[in-house]
Amino acid sequence: MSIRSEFPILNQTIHGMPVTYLDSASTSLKPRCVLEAIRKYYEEATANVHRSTHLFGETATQGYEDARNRAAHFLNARPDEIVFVRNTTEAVNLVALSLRLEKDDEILITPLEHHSNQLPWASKVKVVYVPLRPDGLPDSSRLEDLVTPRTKLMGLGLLSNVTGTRGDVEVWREVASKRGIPFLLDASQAGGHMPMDVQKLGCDFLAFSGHKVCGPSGIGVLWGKRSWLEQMAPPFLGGGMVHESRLDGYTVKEVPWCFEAGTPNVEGAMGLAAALEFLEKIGMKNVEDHSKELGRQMYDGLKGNRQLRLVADQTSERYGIVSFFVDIPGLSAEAFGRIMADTYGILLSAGKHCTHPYHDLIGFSATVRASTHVYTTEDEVNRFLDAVREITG
Amino acid sequence: MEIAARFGTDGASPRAVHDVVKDLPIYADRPFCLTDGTDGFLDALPFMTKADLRRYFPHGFLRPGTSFASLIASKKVEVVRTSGTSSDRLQVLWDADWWERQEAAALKSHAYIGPRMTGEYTEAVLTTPLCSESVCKTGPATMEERRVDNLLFLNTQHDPSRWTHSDLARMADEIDRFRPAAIEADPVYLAVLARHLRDSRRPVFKFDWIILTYEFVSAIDKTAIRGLFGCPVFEFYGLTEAGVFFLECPKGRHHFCGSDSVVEVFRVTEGDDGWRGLPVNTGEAVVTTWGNSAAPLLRYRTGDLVTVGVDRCACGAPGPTVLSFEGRIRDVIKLPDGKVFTPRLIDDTLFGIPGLAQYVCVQEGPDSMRVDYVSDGPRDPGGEIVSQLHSILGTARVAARSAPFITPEQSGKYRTAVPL
Repeated sequence: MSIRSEFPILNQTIHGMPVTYLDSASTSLKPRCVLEAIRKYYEEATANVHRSTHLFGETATQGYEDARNRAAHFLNARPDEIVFVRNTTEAVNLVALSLRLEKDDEILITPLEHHSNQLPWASKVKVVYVPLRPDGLPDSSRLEDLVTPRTKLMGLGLLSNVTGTRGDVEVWREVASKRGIPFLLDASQAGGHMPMDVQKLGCDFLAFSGHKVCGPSGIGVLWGKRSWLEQMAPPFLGGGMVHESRLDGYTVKEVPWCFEAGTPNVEGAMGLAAALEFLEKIGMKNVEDHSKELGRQMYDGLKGNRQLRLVADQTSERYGIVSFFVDIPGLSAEAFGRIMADTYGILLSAGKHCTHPYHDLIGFSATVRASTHVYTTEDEVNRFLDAVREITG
Repeated sequence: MEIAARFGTDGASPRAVHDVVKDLPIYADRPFCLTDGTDGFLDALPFMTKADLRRYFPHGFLRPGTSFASLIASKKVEVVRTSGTSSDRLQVLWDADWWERQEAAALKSHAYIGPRMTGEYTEAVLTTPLCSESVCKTGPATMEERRVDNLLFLNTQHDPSRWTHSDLARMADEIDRFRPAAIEADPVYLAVLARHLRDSRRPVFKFDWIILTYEFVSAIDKTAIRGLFGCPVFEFYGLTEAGVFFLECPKGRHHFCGSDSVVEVFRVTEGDDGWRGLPVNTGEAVVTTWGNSAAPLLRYRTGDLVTVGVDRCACGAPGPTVLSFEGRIRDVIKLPDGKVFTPRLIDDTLFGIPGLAQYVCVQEGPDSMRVDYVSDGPRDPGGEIVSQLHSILGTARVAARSAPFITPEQSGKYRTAVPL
């Protein structure tokens, strides 16, 4: 199967040019099977889940719970440990709201984290940041020293949305496990680039968004070890999450349904399931190899360019995400991105990519980011590199 | 195509045009003859469109031996974008200070404004928020942060329909403190501010003059602005990619004010694209510019319709004038019988209806229109909108719907007519 041909949006042209979509770290494109899964829900079985006593309702409930099974399969996890949320941001917030934290508790993260794994903590507790090494990546060798009795969680991005580098999961896991601290992985970027086996990763929580893994927006997954989920107090109350409600109190449903208050995003879950199945058919090892290959191709093609400054430029080991500062006075990252879009049909991101503290630390006001996915081809990366050379040459 | 008028030919020099474009790759694909005489020279020029500018940016504007990076790094040229989203915006190159130079020259040539532009001249600007390559004054930017040289950028919101009373009061306060000689404004934005000042009964700052620019000027907005501020109001026409070209005189006509440029107006004659009903002197403005050496333009089709007046203006200035800007060609509404209605024609029809503050006329079907309108005061103008539009549209169906606000396009600009 030609993977690219499964994405109808790529059949378009922009100003007569083919679309080169290198903004997958912002959101991924959707294959036909995802569009079809959503269409099927609307056309054949629109109903609420877990309550309707008719064919549509039963079909919808079955589809929704099948999606939970699919997400569990994707993560090598148990289905009852899968909580459907809107996105990674909501997943991390859910953990932050549910973990009975106190103001002087500490959370250990890196400065490279996306806002989704920074702000939910910063608003509640003291955030301790692992320092950066001179190469711009977090210095995990200092981790042990930073853990204190007040450390209540360690949170790490599995794959950086800026550098395209993998977090030091093994080091973090070891420290977290030794000190008995829950370990959360923000896997928002990782799903489209590498296998995510929670047993092998050894984390306690993992969160990802559907829209980054070729699924719909508005649906995501929080996976948590059942023992942790059971300790958490559901922060959102309402329909669907209670077992019984009386005038004098209520009893919540068991995990994971107690965390899914209100009518859930049923069609989103079905679309997500189709997306995960699509990726698994490709094979997550193949997905990872492809991502690393394109990451290497972009790194090699950009590294020697004297008009650009690659973020974490000493690290060639990366997935299909690169960010760079445009070192041409008078040409901002935003202008560079617009020229690439309007003149070459190459769609990139420009800005701080929801990592303001990290950009402040590395001293770049804004960077341009190119990010690939399973549908990205070597030819497209070459087109991107040619255009960069033409602009900076 | 027939020419209704040419503006700026007195200052045109075929040699100057030739010299500035001769080694640019964008024109290597479209050779033209350097003939004697301006008219013959212009006749020989090729036409170009927005699509050409997009296709040839930036390589088509790089002279031999010049790289884009070195050109930008030299600071002699800057990259500027036109408004809008990627579907219609452009990246353009400007010689450093070119825009300011030709804009200042145009204003200084104006009979009313010129003598009043003293050394300490200051100006408030009210349009989409200041957002350029180096600064973006949106959100909680302070007044000082929005000061750039002699200018104060008032707006910090992308959508003026979201202005709160405190936003409007803050802008009025800042005008009072800054005390600018003039304000240059998007007409819709300034009309909203004018109505707020009227309704809040606060004293109105007295500008020496007001310039309306950035988009189509509705007579409804212009009248509201003139009525409240009580100073001369002038329309100023220009395009980011090409320069400034027309400035309204105190007698209400629009005189050519361009530097190193020519504007030609090509008639849209009956039968062109099946169009019927346009005045004989209405046509598309086509510009040739050579003052901006980074990106000179030959016969660039602006997509804007203007109506030309060939008789002498009462202000005494010689030459033809533009009587009115009709709006963009893409906004012209066409009925099944071929009859067309420019945004200006629709605006003239709705102008004067009591209680009408703002509208957008949307063609929903080949012969059906919907007008969304915002009322000004307790009187509902819906019925009169329908009857006035019927008077020009004939049998076409018209419905009017009251709306709390009209939403701008993503660029922050408003359309008053949206064809099918």
